[in-house]
Amino acid sequence: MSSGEQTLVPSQTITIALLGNPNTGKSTLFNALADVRQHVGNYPGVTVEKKIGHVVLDGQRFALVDLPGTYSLAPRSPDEMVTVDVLLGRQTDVAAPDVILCVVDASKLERNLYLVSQAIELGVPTLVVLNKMDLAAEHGIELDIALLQKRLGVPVIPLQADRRIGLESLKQELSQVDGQTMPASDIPFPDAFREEVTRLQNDLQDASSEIEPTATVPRYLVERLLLDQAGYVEQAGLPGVTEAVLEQVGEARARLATAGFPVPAVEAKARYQWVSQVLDGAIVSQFTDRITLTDRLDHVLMHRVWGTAIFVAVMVVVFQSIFAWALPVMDLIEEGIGWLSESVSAVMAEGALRSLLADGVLAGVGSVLVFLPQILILFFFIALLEECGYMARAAYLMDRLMYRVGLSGKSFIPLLSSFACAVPGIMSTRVIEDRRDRLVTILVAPLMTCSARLPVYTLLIAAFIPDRRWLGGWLGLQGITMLAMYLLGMVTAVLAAWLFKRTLLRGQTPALIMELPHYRLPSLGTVVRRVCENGWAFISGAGTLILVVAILVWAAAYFPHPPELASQVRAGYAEQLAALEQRERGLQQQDDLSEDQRQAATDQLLEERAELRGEISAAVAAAYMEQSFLARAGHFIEPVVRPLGWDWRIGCAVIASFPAREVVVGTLGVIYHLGEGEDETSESLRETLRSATWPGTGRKVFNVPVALSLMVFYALCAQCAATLAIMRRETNGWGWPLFTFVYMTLLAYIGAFLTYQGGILLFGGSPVG
Amino acid sequence: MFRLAAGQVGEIASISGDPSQVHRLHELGMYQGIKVTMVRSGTPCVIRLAGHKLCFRQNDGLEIQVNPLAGG
Repeated sequence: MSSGEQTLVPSQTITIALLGNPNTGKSTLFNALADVRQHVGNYPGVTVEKKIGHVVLDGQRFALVDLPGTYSLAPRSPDEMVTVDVLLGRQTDVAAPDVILCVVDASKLERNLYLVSQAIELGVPTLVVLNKMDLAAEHGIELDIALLQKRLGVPVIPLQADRRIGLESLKQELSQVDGQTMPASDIPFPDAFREEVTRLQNDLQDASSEIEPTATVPRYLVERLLLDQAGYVEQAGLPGVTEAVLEQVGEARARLATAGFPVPAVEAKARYQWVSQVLDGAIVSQFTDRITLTDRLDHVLMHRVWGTAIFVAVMVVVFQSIFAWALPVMDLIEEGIGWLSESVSAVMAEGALRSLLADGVLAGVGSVLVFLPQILILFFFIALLEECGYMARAAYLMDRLMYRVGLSGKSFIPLLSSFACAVPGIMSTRVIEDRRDRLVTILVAPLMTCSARLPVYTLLIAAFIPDRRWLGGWLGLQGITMLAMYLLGMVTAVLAAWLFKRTLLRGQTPALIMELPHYRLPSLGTVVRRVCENGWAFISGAGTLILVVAILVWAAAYFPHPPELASQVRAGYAEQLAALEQRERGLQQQDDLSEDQRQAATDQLLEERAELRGEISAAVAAAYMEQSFLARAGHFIEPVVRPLGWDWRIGCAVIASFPAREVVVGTLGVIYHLGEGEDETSESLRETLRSATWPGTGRKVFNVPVALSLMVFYALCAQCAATLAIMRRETNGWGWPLFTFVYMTLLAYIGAFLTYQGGILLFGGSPVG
Repeated sequence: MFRLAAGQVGEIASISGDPSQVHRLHELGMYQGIKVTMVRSGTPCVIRLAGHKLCFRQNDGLEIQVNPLAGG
């Protein structure tokens, strides 16, 4: 599969794979090389982002494949296997690379060359890019690049990707790629090890020849099979890897250990020996123990007290900005969509199509767009903090706290972000390398009280929680209720995380091993690019799905929509309308009125007429809602929600709010005859909810236990299509979002049930306040 | 290793325990014979080795023996 021997026709696209440690500036280089057209997607079956860029140099087309940053090519998971498969040309959806561009941090050569030593074993022509030459100079590192090149046997190009220094010579080198540049030196593995690898390779050949005679396993993967205890290569389904062969692997390891070359230490020894041979004399000078700016900054920023205080301050700024900047834009988007749907309603004839456009499609588009401000702002800060190197320090500071829950410090920012919105929170879990930690964080993130729950809380608290205050007004019952809802979400998240780590995603808590990169000035271009990428990832990965759900819920609330229903409802108001018209006529006939009196009486009548019209259209909307499939669903689930103290209308509103929690407020408005456009601050909606009664009785639907049970339900449920959609994208499947929906709905139901039944015991079921 | 005080220098004598964690440390430049400086002790701790800093948390699956070196 390797195209090392293949002659390159100039019209053919040359594929370059970008490989490197994290924080080497690989992405900066990718962005500097590739033009704006990029292909971003996912590799099938894994959560690794596939990023391919294009560039044309001297008429030659190049495809750049950006691989995730990695310290080594020893795969431990399917995600890490992707990198190795791409490099070996085994990944069928990417062309086999013609060149590996290995990006190396010149200030940390020793460790970075470890990866190079693996890359040159793959049998693919390799170029080494020495990035961050300025940082190396700052550390007093002086390099003999010619000697380094000779030792490595591959072209070495010094570079400063962030300032585009050295880019031209790299491009020149790339345009001269001829498929012949191969490394000069071998990795000094002991002979005993090489023999074992050869033997194993033959065993594999024998084992697979019966089934797939043509299949061969690259020598590098055979090496990995031998080296990586509990590595992923064992399970990767390579041809010939059978139980019997794995037994042989175990025996080979035992033989190596008795010969004094235990696995995995033999690899580190051989590779670092090679690295020191390569670097011997190539590093001309190097300051050791020099106090750098990074050290001085870390002295404060990682301090238990000062560092934590600064971290809290940074988080307050981030959070404040999300609320201060995103909310106005979100309001603007909502208003804009509202205006659009009104305009559509004004120009189109009444009917299913108009309703589909105005209440289905536009509302759906709105519910997608409304997430963007928060996503963009949060990722602006995350990109900024990550680019400047602060993120690793934040993870260090928060690790102690998160460790108690069984997570690592890296889960802190995603969980905190989820207080604004779980969607960007879940998207930001990509920084967590450990799969289990990442999944647990994703699973509990939606429990954090996001801003979409606020309208629900605001409405119900204002309507049903008595405004009692103590301590001179500083402490209020309404405020305490709100706080309790926040705490409920947080405590449940902590307990759920603890439980998941001990049951479902059980496993040894992985050692947190994290590099603390040098601080650097973030490049604005990279930050902006990352913000845009994340915005697009949301729209393309979740947008369609959210739209589809919104349209489905619209259809459920609209159909079957019998046309005669409207006239039936209107007929019920005919008498009132006739009475009003008669009074109008009476007014015209009266001639003993002054001009002012007449005016006042006319105004009064006009007002009454407008009010009646509003009442009629609200009644029509409510009538249609009551006969809709949605209402039938509401009736259908009523026995289930009765123990929570809800009537079918609440059940109905809860179903309708599946695309987004805040929809429940508007739906309650429609269903309780108020017409659309009610929001959580509307006095009339509060009044209506307070006075709603169970059909045929004078008993109120809502009281304090019911309001609390509804709030608790919303605190714990997963009524958010966007969250589930982004979860599907990030976990690459429907399994985890489904699981989340089920577990959170169950929790919400149990929580609401206990709240209501407990409330009834305490308050006796009578309306309070 | 976790007993080193802040500022103290040591030489890694052995790393043992969970193979994948041991392997990970190797890849990050921590292996037998390398010198490490404790920058911040405690859990998690911060250590410096060969020009870069690592942050890591002690866990049951990992045993790192260090010979403290005088001075540093």
